[in-house]
Amino acid sequence: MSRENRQRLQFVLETYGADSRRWPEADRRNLAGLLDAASEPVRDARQIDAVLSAATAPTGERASLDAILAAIAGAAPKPEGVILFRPRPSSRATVPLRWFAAVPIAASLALGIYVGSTGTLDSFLPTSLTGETLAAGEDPGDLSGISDIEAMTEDGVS
Amino acid sequence: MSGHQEVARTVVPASDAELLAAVSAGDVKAFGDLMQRHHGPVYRVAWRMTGGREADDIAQETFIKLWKNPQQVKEGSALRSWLMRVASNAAIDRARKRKPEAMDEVAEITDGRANVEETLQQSAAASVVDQAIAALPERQRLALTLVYFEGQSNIEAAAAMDATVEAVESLLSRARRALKQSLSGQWQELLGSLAGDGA
Repeated sequence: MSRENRQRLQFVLETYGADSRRWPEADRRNLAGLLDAASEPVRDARQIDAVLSAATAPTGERASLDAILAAIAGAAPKPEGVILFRPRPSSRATVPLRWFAAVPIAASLALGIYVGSTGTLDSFLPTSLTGETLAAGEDPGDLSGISDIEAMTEDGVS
Repeated sequence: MSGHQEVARTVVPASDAELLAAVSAGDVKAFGDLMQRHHGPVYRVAWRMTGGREADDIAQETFIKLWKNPQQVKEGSALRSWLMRVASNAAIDRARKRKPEAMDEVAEITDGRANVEETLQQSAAASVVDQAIAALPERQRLALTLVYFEGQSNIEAAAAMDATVEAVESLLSRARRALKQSLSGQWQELLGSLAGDGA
């Protein structure tokens, strides 16, 4: 065995262990035939392999897969069956509502144009706001309408 | 000749790339097929990296990520590495959050020589080995899991770990050395016990 091969074999044993099935392809081709079971590096690598192989094997794999597959089946719409985790609706779905929100803005604009062209809004507002409270000749002390009743009584309208 | 002809049909399974394209179009069945194909390695890597505690969650999280955005996988042939990378990162993140617990486990190993007989009597050579593996640095543990336990090539493992092949090889050899070192006090006893089990 050449010096290069010996060094490479030692590196492979220390890195991948003594089982040549775990070696890189090229090393398996070139070095597997050079394994000397009695050599210390091989023995050492085999011991570590043996210890590693004693590690507990994972459990619950099938149950985990079944649970996720069941979730898929449960979430899929029938009969066409699409979409486990439904993507968020695209923003396009909300476009009609955006138009709806523009209606009061348009109304405000129209009102503004009207007020601007007529110059006053008083005819739309109560007199208590506009200050137009008394007609000429009316008694400012009587805003209750009692005098009107008296006048009506005198006229015999009671 | 009348009658029907018998035609031997071989069903060629769809490639990862084909299934991935179907998943992008919302095909649940294709997603199920991908899961059947790749769930095992993803789950086992998560299991070994977290001691089994959160393997379910990590596997589910990994596949949900794939479902939500299959375009993240640039090439169908790279799917396995992508899944392994996502699962490994998730496992390492979770392991880091549990750091105090992990430190307790390390303490148990180094102080555990007095208990080794009892531990072995309880047929827990496996438990001793599990603890020694769990005490390895994360990247060493991941390299060992991918290459030794999952049988991935050094190139696949490097892609999954976002590292070079040389880095993976270095991690592997350090992991093996560290394992032997941490178990040196009970090495012969452990080997004897494994030989007794037919190992």
